[in-house]
Amino acid sequence: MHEYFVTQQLVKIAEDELKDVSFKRVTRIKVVVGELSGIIDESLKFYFDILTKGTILEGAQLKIIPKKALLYCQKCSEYFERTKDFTCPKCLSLGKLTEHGKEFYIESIEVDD
Amino acid sequence: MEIKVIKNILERNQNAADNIRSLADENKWYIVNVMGSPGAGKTSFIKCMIENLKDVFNIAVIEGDVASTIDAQAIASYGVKVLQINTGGACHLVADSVAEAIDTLKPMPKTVIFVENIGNLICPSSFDLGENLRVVVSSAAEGDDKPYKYPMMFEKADVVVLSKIDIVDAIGFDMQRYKKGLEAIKEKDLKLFEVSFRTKEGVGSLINYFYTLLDSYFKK
Ligand SMILES: [Zn+2]
Repeated sequence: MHEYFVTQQLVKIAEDELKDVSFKRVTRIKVVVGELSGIIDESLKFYFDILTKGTILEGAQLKIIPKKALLYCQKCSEYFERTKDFTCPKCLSLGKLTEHGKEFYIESIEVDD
Repeated sequence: MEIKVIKNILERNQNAADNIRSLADENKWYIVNVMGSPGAGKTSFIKCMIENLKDVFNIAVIEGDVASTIDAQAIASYGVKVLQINTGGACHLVADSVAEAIDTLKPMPKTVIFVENIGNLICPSSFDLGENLRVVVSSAAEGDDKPYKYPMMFEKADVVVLSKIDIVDAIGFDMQRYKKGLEAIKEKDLKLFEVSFRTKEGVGSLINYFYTLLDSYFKK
């Protein structure tokens, strides 16, 4: 739901990064989005197309790289994908949230030079 | 050519939040970010704090609301400083607008500032507002699965207030399941208060907690 705001930030960061780079056009922006980040891919794309109009990013493709949430089981010392109630599929003990799934960052910007 | 960036998109908000934090430190403000679903009891929580603490501490309130001023009016009637931020549809507060609100309110030094965030369990959790404490008000009426569905909201909370516990039996709310979910998320120091702002059950220990917390903060 807050994709409008974050897309504005995304455009600003990209413009900043490209300030001292010479290029013909921006072809692609890769953004990593974790399952728990609260970001909806479709909304991000929707706002990206609107907010990049008239900027150096106009026409660039937004490539979203999704990351699954992983929980960690201390008993099995293993990561597992989120289950309905956070229990480890192997030993049924309670898993802990990890940093996997919270990602939200620009990985790279691709340009034609 | 590919340019590696790896830059957090919420960085700008983070900078604004850090600014608020250093201002708060200078002025000895204590900022409480109050989050939760619409109707969970965020305003009831703030009203309860005002009623019970306003004779001891200076209190100011920043009300985030999509459009209305209903909550702000109710709070103003207690005689504390209150400012309404209308987000005009946005789903969360950002540090920039809180900084602006604080600038307008001009709270005196040693003030507790309650910030009522926009009602929803996803978006506000991603935005640091420079707060000293994050409170999530979560009502029994919403069901016992909320920690599992919105783990980020609970993970970043310092205090969870489970409200409307007077209806737990009537709706078959599974307290154990709810607590188990919180335990999974909060590795340590989970502070959970089970209260009903209607019947006042459990409210005493919540007030005591805040009294002690604020008293020691302002004495330092
Ligand atoms: Zn296991």
